[in-house]
Amino acid sequence: MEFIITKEIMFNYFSGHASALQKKLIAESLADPKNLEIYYAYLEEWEKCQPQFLPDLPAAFTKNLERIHSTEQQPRRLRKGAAIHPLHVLTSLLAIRVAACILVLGLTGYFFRDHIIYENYETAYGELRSFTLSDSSSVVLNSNSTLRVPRFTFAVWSREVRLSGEAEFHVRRRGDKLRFVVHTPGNNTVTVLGTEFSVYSRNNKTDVTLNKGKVELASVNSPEPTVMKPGEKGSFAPDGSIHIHALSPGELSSQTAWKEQRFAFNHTTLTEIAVQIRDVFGTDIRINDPSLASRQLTGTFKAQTADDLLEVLKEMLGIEVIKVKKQVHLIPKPTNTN
Amino acid sequence: MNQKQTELTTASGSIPIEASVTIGEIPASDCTQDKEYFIRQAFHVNALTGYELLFRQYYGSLCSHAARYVYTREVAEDLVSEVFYTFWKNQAYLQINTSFRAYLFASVRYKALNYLKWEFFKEDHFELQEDGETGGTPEPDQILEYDELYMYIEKIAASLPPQCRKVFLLNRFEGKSYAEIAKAMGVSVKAIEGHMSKALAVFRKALTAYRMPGK
Repeated sequence: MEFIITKEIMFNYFSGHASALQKKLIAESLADPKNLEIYYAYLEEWEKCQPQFLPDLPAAFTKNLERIHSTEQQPRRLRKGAAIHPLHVLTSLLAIRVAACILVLGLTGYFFRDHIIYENYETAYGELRSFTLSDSSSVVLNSNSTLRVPRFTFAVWSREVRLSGEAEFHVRRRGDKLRFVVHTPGNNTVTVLGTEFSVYSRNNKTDVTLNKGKVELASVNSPEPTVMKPGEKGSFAPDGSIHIHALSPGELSSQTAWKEQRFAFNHTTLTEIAVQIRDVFGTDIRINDPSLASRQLTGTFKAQTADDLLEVLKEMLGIEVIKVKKQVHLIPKPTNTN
Repeated sequence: MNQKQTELTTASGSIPIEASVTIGEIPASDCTQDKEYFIRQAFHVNALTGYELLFRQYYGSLCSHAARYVYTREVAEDLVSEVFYTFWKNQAYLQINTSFRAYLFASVRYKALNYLKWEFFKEDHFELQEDGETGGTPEPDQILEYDELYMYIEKIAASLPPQCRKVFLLNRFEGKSYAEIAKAMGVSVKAIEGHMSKALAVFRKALTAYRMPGK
């Protein structure tokens, strides 16, 4: 028998609006297994058009998978019917389960390999964080920075960490030959022979300031390590070349001013200040006036938020600070032109 | 109308037959076309991928259908999840000779009915289900009885006084606690308890008078 009942009739029926005659017609046609399939197809479609609620599909599937895997290890009760080929059924089931388990674990591991292999220390804008690594070296991480430390091999096979942002390290000397190495984006490495230094690595630029001890700098283009002495600042240029120059005591302390949430400027242009504010607080600062952008500022300022610092700039330079949505515009005071 | 989406890149890998999979985009008027072809293919290649596709394809509509019987979101999801779990555990995909869809919908209805019997009459059919009993393929007139049952339940819910119905839906369907509902509606928890016991009494009475499908 052909299924002559239309979708409209079926939908009406599912919604409880079919007539007695239509119901009879449906009942009769369901005797054919082929029509039964059509019935379920319409039922599914109707449920999709008229859902009672929308469940959280990904969460449900995850939960379901967990259940499948959690029961895998438990001894399974054999059903009566399965006793005929118990061995066959068990082995094939086991193989499928083991394969599924490995597949899921493998994929999970692949997607989360960063979190499994590395312990990630991260700071938000305006946040400072200090912590001690498992080799007793201590780290102060500046705002908007990430330090990745190998979870399992650190201080066992090597002492290598990856930094993006800015941090100060106090490296603990060890009897063994494990050197402390900081990798920064762009394949630059800082190998520690001594103890105290800070690394700044943002905007394709990496600076290293050494307070105590000895460090070696190397990059892809300068594989031969360059040794730095205390009180020096080493810079990796974007092309990988390394430049080292000595800092005056004042400059040296200003390099790590961020640890006390201070900003130290020394003939620093407003453009550079804007970059620093963006790095630390994430504030997008725009300066359209070229003469204003090149104005310089010297001094140390304590600031816990971008607004603290902007207030200082406003006072000192006599400028206007205008916030438009998420951008902050610095413009010369209109009265200055009179 | 065509809201059916089947994601091909699944958590358990993407299936190799990537060429223009149009599951769910076949015009509804043409139900004779085989919508499950790709899912079956996936089961041949990798059972878990097939299982995930199947889950994604039918989970939502099955939950919606189960909710028409049990009137709780949570139980509906649990029942459907249970059906899928049994399907996987018993490797039903190797055995069934109907479509997956027909098997799943029939199983969900059977579970939902058993849940109602258990909830309102404490009939202990629930235990049996642990062994993956699905009730087999229902007879045609049984199918219509199942249809009538959910329509009947809808009528019972609609027959509740408005305030009582609101409380019933919030507590039972949305899973809100008595205290939450009482606060939202600005009445006492006692009043909510009153509404709920009334609603459940109406359901019990109406279902007792009703001849349930099946044996």
